Amino acid sequence: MPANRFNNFTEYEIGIGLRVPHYDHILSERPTVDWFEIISENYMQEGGRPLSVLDRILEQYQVVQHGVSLYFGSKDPLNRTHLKKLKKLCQRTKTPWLSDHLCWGSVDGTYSHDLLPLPYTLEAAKNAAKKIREVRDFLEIPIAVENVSSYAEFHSSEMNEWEFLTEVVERADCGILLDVNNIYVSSQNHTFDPRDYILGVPHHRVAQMHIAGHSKYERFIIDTHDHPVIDPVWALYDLAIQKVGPTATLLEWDARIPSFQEVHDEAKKATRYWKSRKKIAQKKQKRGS
Amino acid sequence: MNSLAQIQKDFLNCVKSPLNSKDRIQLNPKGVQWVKSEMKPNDRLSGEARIEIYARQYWFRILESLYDDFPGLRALMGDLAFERLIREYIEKYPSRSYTLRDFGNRLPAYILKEKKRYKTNSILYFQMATMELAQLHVFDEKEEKPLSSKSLGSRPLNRRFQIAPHVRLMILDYPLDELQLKLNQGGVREQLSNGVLDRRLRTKCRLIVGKLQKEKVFLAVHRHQYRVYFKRMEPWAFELLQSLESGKPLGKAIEIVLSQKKYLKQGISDRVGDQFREWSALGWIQILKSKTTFFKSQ
Repeated sequence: MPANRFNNFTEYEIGIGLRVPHYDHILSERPTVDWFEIISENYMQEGGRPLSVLDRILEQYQVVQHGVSLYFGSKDPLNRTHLKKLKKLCQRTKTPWLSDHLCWGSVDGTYSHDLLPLPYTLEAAKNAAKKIREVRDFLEIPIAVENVSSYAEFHSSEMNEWEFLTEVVERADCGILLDVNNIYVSSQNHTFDPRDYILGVPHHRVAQMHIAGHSKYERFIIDTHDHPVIDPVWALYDLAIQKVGPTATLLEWDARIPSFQEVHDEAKKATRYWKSRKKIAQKKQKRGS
Repeated sequence: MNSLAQIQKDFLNCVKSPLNSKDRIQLNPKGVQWVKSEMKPNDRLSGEARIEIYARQYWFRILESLYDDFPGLRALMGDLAFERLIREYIEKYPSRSYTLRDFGNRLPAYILKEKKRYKTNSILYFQMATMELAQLHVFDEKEEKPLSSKSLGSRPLNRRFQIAPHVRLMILDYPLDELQLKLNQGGVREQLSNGVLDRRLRTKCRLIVGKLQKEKVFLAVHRHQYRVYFKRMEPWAFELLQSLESGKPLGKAIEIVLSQKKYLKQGISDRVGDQFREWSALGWIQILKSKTTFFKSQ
């Protein structure tokens, strides 16, 4: 299950995000990490330290690109200059697949710099699917779309979020970056059972997973990526692994970033769910034989 | 039912509308009506409260990015005036780039546009904003390799050059480079870049800014091995670089500088070669790439 056409038939395990405070540690200590995820937009320049660090990282590690500004859901056409820069970076990193969010963020060339929620309508699904196909055809690599955390809902929605995600990925014939923390955050903000979400998506399309921490306020939860993963999110992750199989997983930690070791240790907790799922699978196999 | 394009347009208009003094959303009647008809409330939040989460994220994210990019300008202007300036700027010039790195590009021009308000300080603020912007730009521009004597060919005086993208030239009326280096010491810059200044640092900041005296500075903001530096230049060297930047051949650029009366007694002609070699070694100057010319056949 983990290696599929949406992650270019790779079998990556647990990765962490490449972040500036960890540059020196990674370059000097060369820790064992299965793969790093980079935010594409941080490396789409002509030169400077970030690109130089990236080149050194690429000499030793596998890197996967994750973006924050393709805005598949925007009605705006794709930004060609942005796409050309992105392709150049993809050629540099040789990323096996590329992910970005199922959201929108710009209107008539004005940018919000946020991952804004879509109304779950057929019109929005068709629009996003068309743009995902365009990006994949231009970049010539598999695309995985990530479900976002949301804080608002539209009266005009015609389906629930996981039905919408399914509609988009089936129409685009692309992969899913299943963000388990985002499912939890949205389930709390919009009052639905997060397990229904995980059971409802097409599992064979999951190319990668995200786990992260968040911030809880009195009346809502915000996806802040500044805490360890909480137990209910781990429980959802366990369910996702059960349904999808052990899949390339990345811990996101983007604010109040602790030491590299702390981030890496938190990420590696995911392997215990892999192991328990593998044991169950082996037992089932024995019983069957 | 509204189209997707219309929903996104109206949603973004609500998100971009300025927050009030308590950082709460303040929608106009049209916005209020739109939120009622489009945004679904839940048992804890109204539609307006839900869109307010996005409005606050929008404003706080961009404000934080401008605080981070213009700490020197904040020190010069003081907290209140700086905050007012950037909130107005965000409202008038929303982002037109996929990256926040470009957001401050029009801030210096906006300061000049508002020069009546800033009176004699407008040039000071303009130059600080321009210098901080230059630092941002040179940080991740392409660094060029040093120019070898071989690449100059047999007639270097006829060659035209360009200034490398990781170098920016500017003339200042105040020693803003020194001011910024002083602010970088003692943790002032870190605080200027994000949080509220504590009283001790605010006083220190005011003292540093208070001592600022007029002084002409010819400055290059440049990057060397992934760090941004300031390099003060002698006026003649600055003018020579500017002449090269404007596309004049090396020989002509030197001739223009040497022919100026003010430089006659400075013995510059003996120093031009060394200066040129230093710029070449730093990768500051590059041979101008000739543009391809297409001739129509007769």
